[in-house]
Amino acid sequence: MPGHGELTLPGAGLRRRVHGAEESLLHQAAQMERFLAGVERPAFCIARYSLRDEDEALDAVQDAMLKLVRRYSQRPAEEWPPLFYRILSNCVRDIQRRRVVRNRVIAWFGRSDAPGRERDIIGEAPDIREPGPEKQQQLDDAMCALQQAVENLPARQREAFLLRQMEGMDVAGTARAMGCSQGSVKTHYSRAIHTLRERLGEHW
Amino acid sequence: MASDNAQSDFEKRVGQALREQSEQLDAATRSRLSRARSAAVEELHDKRFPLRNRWLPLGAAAAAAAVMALLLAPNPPAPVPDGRTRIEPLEDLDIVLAEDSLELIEDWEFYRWLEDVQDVS
Repeated sequence: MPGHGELTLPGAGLRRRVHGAEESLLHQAAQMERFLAGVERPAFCIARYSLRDEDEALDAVQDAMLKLVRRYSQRPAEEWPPLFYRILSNCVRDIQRRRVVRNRVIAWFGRSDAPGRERDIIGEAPDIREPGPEKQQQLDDAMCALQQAVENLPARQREAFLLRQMEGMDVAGTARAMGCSQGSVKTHYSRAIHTLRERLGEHW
Repeated sequence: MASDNAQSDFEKRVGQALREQSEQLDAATRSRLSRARSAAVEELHDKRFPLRNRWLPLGAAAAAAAVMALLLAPNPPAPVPDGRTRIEPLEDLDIVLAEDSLELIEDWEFYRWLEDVQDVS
């Protein structure tokens, strides 16, 4: 309450509330910015392991960021990591589903004109993003082997392994991100480690 | 961190390699991730103050309409047939508030007499 002699202008309370809301927004935006900056790279790598395509992995990360902001920015910041990775997982699955449908459509139309079909020179051209034979030789064999082994893991095992090892989430957070029990996470993770150890034994 | 159970050396080495890999993304990918992040944070501003952004175009349209109305408004009123200019209410107010108005009131009798003389002539 203002004291005697203190002049309170009409609307001053409203202005204070608006100012407070703006400060709160700036604080939340800065917090969200820090969170996204921290997860964007591991998130991209995790999506790329699942999709094996950089552009689609970037699309998935961008979608996940936008959905987190639109739906869950009001939630406490400590809930953001599992929510974000849950959303990212759904975005990856959506892209994989679209890819399956697209491939079926292409296969269907491809069959119909198979006899007189012209060669797709662009489609058959080597992907310039793929390293050539010389560069491939220069790449670290051990890292290549690890990437291939992780890519070939079953989806749930890969998800559990990457969330725990790349993002550093604990079992409880991984379980929330994957939408399953902590026991399932332990099982998926243990099987992933067992498989990787078998496949990478000579390199690692 | 995945420290619920003690990690084997194998897990530690693999985890370290994966984290290093995520830190060594090329500049183009880092830039695209950064743009995606900025777009998402911008969305946060739009979400918190949706009305402000919604009213901005409306306010701009109203201001533009007011300017157009002023530009397209008819010219000031022409003098009435008896030769005197019709005075708009706002102009009335200006005249009343002007300093000269006191003199007008003081010499009111003189101006009445002058008007009568002009009417007769």
